[in-house]
Amino acid sequence: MTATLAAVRLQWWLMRGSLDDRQSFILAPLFVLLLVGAAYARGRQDLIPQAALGAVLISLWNICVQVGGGIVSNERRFATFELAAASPAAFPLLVLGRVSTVVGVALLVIPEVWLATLLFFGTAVTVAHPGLFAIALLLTTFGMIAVAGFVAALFVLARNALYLQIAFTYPFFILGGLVVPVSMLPEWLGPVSRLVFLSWGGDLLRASLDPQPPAGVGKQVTGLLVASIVTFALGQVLLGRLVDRARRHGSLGLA
Amino acid sequence: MVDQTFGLQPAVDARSLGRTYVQRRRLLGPPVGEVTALGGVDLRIGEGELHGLLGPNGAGKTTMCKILSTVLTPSSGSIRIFGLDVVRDAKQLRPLIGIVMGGERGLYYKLTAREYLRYWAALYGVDTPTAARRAGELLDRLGLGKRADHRIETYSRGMKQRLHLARGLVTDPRLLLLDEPTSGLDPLGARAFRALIGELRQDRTILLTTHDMVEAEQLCDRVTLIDNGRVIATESPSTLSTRLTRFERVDAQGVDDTLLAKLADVSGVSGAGRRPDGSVRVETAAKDASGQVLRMLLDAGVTRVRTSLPDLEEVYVHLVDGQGAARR
Repeated sequence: MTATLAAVRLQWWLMRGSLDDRQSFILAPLFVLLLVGAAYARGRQDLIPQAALGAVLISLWNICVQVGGGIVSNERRFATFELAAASPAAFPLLVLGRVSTVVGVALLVIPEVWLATLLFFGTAVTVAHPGLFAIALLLTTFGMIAVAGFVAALFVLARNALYLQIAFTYPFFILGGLVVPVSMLPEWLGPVSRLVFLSWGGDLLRASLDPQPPAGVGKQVTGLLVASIVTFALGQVLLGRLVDRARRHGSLGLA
Repeated sequence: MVDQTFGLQPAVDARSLGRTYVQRRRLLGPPVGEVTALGGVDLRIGEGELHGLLGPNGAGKTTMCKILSTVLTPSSGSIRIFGLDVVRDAKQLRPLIGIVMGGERGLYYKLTAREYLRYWAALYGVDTPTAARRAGELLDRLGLGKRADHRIETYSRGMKQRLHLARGLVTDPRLLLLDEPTSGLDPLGARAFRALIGELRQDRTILLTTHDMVEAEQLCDRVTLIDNGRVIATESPSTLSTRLTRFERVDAQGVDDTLLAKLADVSGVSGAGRRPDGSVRVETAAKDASGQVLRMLLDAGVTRVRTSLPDLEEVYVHLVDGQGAARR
């Protein structure tokens, strides 16, 4: 626990001095222009809140993938990976602490996107079901942290960050239902999409914005929870195993 | 296990330690070759000893340090630190070991020195008040107190190196690994850094890897010479020199070319030649050769003669060259 809190504090200190982990705050208004702008141009005022939500989720997902992978890449680059692996602290817990900080701070993208939607398109995004929104956001945040841990594990194995980061962005925007709801994807993609926690989280968040009474909330909460827990467990176990593998193979450092 | 050298359990006890790296062209592809970094190393370091591990680049020093710090597993043999196995008991061992790297590695540049030390102390389970106190004391002791709250990116090379040392000590380790800690420092900075190591060693066991002979000679109780992953010799710096008296040198002035040629032909003389100042240096490679050279010089009326033992650097060169020659 002490190590995880130390990692939380480390990430906070690092973010204070770096623009890298905050670039999604710069990109978020651009996603608003793209996604909300498309709905606006088609005269679909009713879709504007959903499109704004898409901008939020894409920004959060980007942060998770960039930071999750970036942590391992940077630790390797600056040879702090070996020092961390030599310490008594479990590396997965350090990653957990660091990505939790980043995702926590990244939640500020929500008011930012809401504000950008209001400024650019004059539409205020209203949350019809605040309780459901809070639960959905909490679980989705946990899912984001889980994914970042999983991505970090893959970066221990593969050293080229760029390809993995690309592979983990655009395909998941579709599979996670960030651009269009999963129900609108081809039928055969449905089961695959449901393995991604975002597809459940996206549905649940959309339902919380919709003035209509939400339906199937229990199933969606369960789906989101299960997908997030499985991803989290997989990421933590994989991260631990791959760090041990790197000790055996001598691949913790770049040399 | 009791070691006869120390009479007690050694702090570090490596037996037939080996490490090979498998080479692959692709991440999960089949092995295409193997590189041996350590080939059966035996090394014992007594508790409280400052032990030097000397060798040229690629000798296996850093591999040894990595294995000792548990970030690399050995391929063969065994290694115990304070009686604990580095692989099986790694979790219990890690809090006991501190690592100091050389150069720019291992730093978070956006952090201040104080934050940096507090972070690493927390990872080693040091409670917050103790970490804060130790960080403050160490930064003051190492001359970084006034810059403790400045970002590391603004530090000079020497300051970063002192911060590395502070990081290694902030967890109060029983074993401190110094991996080429003066690498890249200017001579004055290196000298000041060595003085610090000497002052801060207290009762700690320290392993210093270096290829700087002066450093080893000044600091170490014993040194192990390593080359191509194999131990060549382990002795105190002075014993190592004394043991190798056959490498004695004889310097003389007023020697003509005829006598020089005769000296070069003496059995056991490994080299004889004229130096830029006109004097002659004869190097011996056998125990009794120096005596015979001296007698010949005196018989020829040469009285301006000086003999000297090799310093550690010369011993090192002789031994490493000897190993290389044996392999060739």
